Parts: sequence; structure tokens; C-alpha cells
Amino acid sequence: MSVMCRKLCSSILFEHFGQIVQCVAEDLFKHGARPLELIRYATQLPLTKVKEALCVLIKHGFVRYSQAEKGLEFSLIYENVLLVLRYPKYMFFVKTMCGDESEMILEEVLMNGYITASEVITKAYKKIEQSPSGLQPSVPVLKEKFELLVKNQFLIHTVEERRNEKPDFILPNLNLTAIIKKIEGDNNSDPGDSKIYWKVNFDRLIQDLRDQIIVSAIRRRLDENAGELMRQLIFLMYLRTASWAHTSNPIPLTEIKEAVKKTNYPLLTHHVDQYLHLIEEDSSQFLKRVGDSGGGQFSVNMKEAFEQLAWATLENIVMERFGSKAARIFRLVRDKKYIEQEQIQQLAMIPAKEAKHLTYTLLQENYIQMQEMKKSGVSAAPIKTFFLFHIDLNVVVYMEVEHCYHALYNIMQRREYEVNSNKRMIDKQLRMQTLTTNLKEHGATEEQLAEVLTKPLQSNYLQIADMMTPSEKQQLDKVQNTIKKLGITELQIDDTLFLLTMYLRYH
Amino acid sequence: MAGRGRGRGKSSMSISAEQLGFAKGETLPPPVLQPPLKYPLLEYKPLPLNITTELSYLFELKKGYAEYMRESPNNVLPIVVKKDIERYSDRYQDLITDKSSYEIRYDWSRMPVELKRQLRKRKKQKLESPKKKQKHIDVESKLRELEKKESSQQSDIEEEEKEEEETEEKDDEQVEEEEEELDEEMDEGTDYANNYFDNGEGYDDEDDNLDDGPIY
Repeated sequence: MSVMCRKLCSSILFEHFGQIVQCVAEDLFKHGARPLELIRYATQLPLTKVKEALCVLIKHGFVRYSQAEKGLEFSLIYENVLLVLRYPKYMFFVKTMCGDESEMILEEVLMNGYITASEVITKAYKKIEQSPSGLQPSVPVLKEKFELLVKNQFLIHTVEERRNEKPDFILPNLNLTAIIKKIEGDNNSDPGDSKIYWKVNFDRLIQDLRDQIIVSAIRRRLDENAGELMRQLIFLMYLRTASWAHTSNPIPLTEIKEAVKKTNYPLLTHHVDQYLHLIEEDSSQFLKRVGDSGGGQFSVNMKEAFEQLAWATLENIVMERFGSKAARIFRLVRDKKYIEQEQIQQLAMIPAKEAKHLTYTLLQENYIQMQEMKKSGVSAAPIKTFFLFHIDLNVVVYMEVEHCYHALYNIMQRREYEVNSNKRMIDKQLRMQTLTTNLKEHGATEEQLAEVLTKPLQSNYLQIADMMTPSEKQQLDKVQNTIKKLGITELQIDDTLFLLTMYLRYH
Repeated sequence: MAGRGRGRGKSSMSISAEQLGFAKGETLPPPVLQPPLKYPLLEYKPLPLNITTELSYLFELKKGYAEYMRESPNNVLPIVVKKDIERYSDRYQDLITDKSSYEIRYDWSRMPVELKRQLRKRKKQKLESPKKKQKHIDVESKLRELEKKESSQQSDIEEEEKEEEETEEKDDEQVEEEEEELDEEMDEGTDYANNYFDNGEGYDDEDDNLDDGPIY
């Protein structure tokens, strides 16, 4: 893959795992699968550290190993590294689907790569205990939530790579009393699920985010009711079709009606036919009528849907980068498939010079492609050649994916820079925070604590707050705001990236 | 294409200016002689960032996760080189940082054993080493005995030393690999003490014999 992708992966790993892991992974990225000794040689790190880094990478599913002629070979799965960018979205999705406790469980699993059920419940219990939110920790509830996650297939068994077992979702019998004992500090109790590890089923979560995109697209195009109908259709699609199929098997109208009846949308139940007709007629072509028997057979067309969404995204990008006139030309070229310069300026109704300028800009930036057509037999002089403009969607999407990588990398670098250049201040604030919380916790022995603390702090909070001058506070606010903005931009770029990778997956 | 054009005395460009949209007589844009700006001015400003509560929450999640991962043992730390002096705070630092090795955190039935620190090899060496040791010591002690006998004869000493050095070298080759174990063995070796009373010149450049320092 590209240099940008490598840099992005590398800075993601640096942000989460530090320099050594980054170093090892980057070496794997550059050279593909290779044995331990070569990694050590190339990175110049101590052997134990290389091993430790590889352990971390394997545990989080970023590195896979295979038996080669001479010992093991390790290789990086960069796609999984890029998934880290989307972890918060997965957590949030699970939160909305299954509740706060489930989110915590998922977070724990993400933090550990893979983990046993009892361990994750113990950890989540302790976390809830410490967190200030009003949740009451309880082992049975957590276990229930865990089961819910498994039932929804958000979590999956890990299987050893050597054996070709199919991953399953069977939950082991957990010994609840043993878990409770463990939480209370008894390390000898056995919860009965040792060596049964769970990891996050990313495939499932990716599908869910994909469905979310489709539903929200319909909701924005039509209305809330249509969105709900689309959700039901996707749900029906799951029942009869493999999860990554391009189009669903036909769904009869009667079944759609039945499914809609169960939902709480009276208006939708009333006008199912009309809504179906609307979605079907819509230019986005998410839905296709494939038969007339039984009142009509419908099929969800995922492949087409993502092509349309990718087009829409690209149009928006062109619009924001080059203005609405350029977007008009872009749409025109798309519509006509192959078109000459002359026609562009006529049909787009843009003055000749401007039209040419915009077309060439788009060509230069690779948003449209040019095809030469020479008349056979006539001299090859350029005057006799047709220059046809067209758009190769795959090329443009690949380019845009690269842009996303680039933008993400730049933002991460910028964020890193902002943090580093204001490190002193951020550290200071952190110190102050810990001091005040410490003091508050030990309210009774405050004076004793004050003695331990350095002199200018003394005992009361006021003075601690005074440690920062107003200008410093202002600066800190500014920096934190910048960092937050950059972080949020990262999340949004990742949305685009996700949509485009979904398109590439289907095409 | 270009080759033919040249012959006719026309411009050597394969495309005429008119084709690119310039009317006849219109001035062409001046050639660009500078590299593009590092931060080119944006013709169109990006859309303002809309921070919703959902996005803020997602950001918090993201930050929390990244921070946790960095603090956790998943962040592989480099081996810290010993500082110049011992500081009082070091003792507390040691308490804070988790010194346990990474091996106990993993279930090795799921990990390639190759990634374990190689303890087994060491043990093997340990078992074998005593025998080797014994031999060398025998040789050396014999040499010493000879040396003692011949100590009165000054002229022979130099020769002896050369021999000693040779045996040393052989010894060291093995020693390097099993330093730690050897050191332990040395301490236990009964006849090692006898070797002590060698004039020591052969040991000059060897690390293991730093202990002998006071003799000089």
C-alpha cells in the first residue's frame, strides 16, 4: 500500500502503543512477512523488546503469524490498524444498541484485544464502581449484557489460527458466585471459563455501520418513515441473504407489510406501498422491484447503493474544493459518460473560457480522465483527434481514499505538535487536577497532606487554582479547543473513509 | 507527432494555443518560475465544523481510549539506561512502574512460543557448563602448579604467560555466552581461589576480572 497509509498506520500505533511497537510495525509494513531475527536486525531493538511488541500486536489482532520453512513469519494486517480510528464509533453504536454497561464491556475487550468473559465482567464491575455515573454495578446485570453482546454477535470466540475451527458464539457457563468472590479479592475461585477468549467481531460492527449509512441516507432523502422502512428491509435482508452479498434475495411485499406492522410508525403502516414506490423510484436505486408475484418482490441493492453514495460524496468534494460550477461540470461528465470539451461548455452553460479552465483543473487534479480518440487512416495531428472526458469512478475513489489517509495523517501530526508544544502547561494542569482531587478525597487529613505538598501550594484549593495565571488559562483553553477540533475532524474524515472503503469492498 | 511539426517550421508544440482556449493574439499566462506555496491559499473555505454533543462524546471516547492504551503495559517502554547517580525519587518510580515481565500477561497456549524470552536454552547451558568449567580449571590449576615450580626461573615466566593467555582466550569464548552462570559457578568452584595468586598481567583487558582490582 501507499506511503501515506504506512505513515498513518505508524502514527496511529504511536499514539496508542508507543515508539517501539510503532517501529516494529512499520518494519513489517515495509517488508511484508518476515521472521523475528530480521525484524530485530532492521529495527536495531533489543530482542526482548521486539518480542514484547509483537506480543502486543498479535494480541490486538494487528499482526498474524504463520509457519514458514524456517520458524515463524510475522505480517502486519494494516486494515485492522486503521480500524482503531473507528473504535469510538463502535463503542457508541453498542451504547445506543445495548446500553451503557455493554459499552463498557466492549471498551474493555477493545483495550485487551481478547479476554475471558469472567475477566471482562470483573473489570467492568470495578470500573463502574469507580466511575461517578449513577450506575450500580451488579454482576448478574453485567453478565446479561455480555450475553446480549454475544447474542448480537458483537463479540466472538477467538480461535487458534492453526486450527481451522469455525468461530462460534456459544457462551460458557459462568460461575457467578465465583466471579463475585473474585471481585471481592479471592483469587482462587474459578469462574469456569479459563482459556475461552472473546474478541470484538469487527465484521459485524462494520455491517451495522454500513446499514446505518443506508438508513440515514434514505431518511435524509425522504423522511423518518422511509428511513424506518429501509431499516426493516435491511433486517429482512439479513434473514435470507449472506451478509456481504451485492443484492438481497427477493423480499415479498406481504412480509414487508408484516414487519412494518410490528413497528410503531402508524403513518408508515398506512402508506407502505407509497413509500416503497418512492424508495424504488428514487435516483439512488437502493431498492429494486424484481417481480410482481404476491403483490411485488423487492430486492435491496447494496452494491448500487454504495455506488450512488460514493458518487454523491465525490460530487460534494468537488463542489467544496472547486466550487459549484466545477461540480456542475463533474456531474455533466458523469451523466454523459464520454463528452467533448465543446459539449461541456454548451451543456453546462458556462462561458467557454471558464468551462475550459475548470475542466482542466479537474483533469489536473485527477477528478476526471481524458481519452484520446484518433480517426484511423487520417494523420495523427492533434487537430484531428477527439479528446473525450470521462470519469473512472474506481480511480477517483482510490485517489480520494489516499487523500483521506493523507488528511488523517496530517491532522494527527498537527495534534501531536499541539500537545507537545504545550506539554508543560498540560502537565501542570494535570498535576493540579490530581492535587485537588487528592485533597478532596482526603478531606479529613487535609492539613497532613498539605505538609507533604510543596510549600507554595499549602492547603487550600484557592491557592492551587492560583497556580495558573489567567493568560495561561486562556492559552490552555485555546489549545484544548484546537485539539478537540482536530480530533473531531479526524472522526469525520473517517466517516468519509468508511463510506469509500465500503464502495471499494463492493466493487 | 512532434518530429513532423518541426520540419514544417511551425511551433514545436503539439497542441496549438487555440485548442487550449486562448483566442489569437491573447497573451499567454507568464511561466511559473517558483515552486508552489507550502500552504496554498484556499480558494474555497472549508465548511465550519459543527460540533454536536454526539461528536464531543465520540471524541471523549477516543481520547480516553488512546490515553488508557498509552498508560497500559501495552505501551512497550524502552529499557532505561541507568542514570549517572541514584536519586531518591527512583525508589518511588520503581514502585509506580510495573516491573514484571511481559510474559505473565499472555496466555502462551495462544501465542507463538517463539516470542517467549528464551529461558529453556539457558537452562541447558547451565547443565552443561559445569563440566566444561571443571576441565578448564584443571588445566589452569596445572599451569599454576607448574608456574609455582618454575617461579624461581625468571626467564620462563614470559612463556608461561603466553600460554596462559591462550587458554584464557578459549575460555572467554565460552564465557561470553554464559557469563552469568559462569560467574555463579566461579564463586562455588573450590580451586578458583588458587588461581588468584597469579601475577595478573594476562587479565588486564578482561571484564570478568574487574574484581581483582585491589591486587594491583
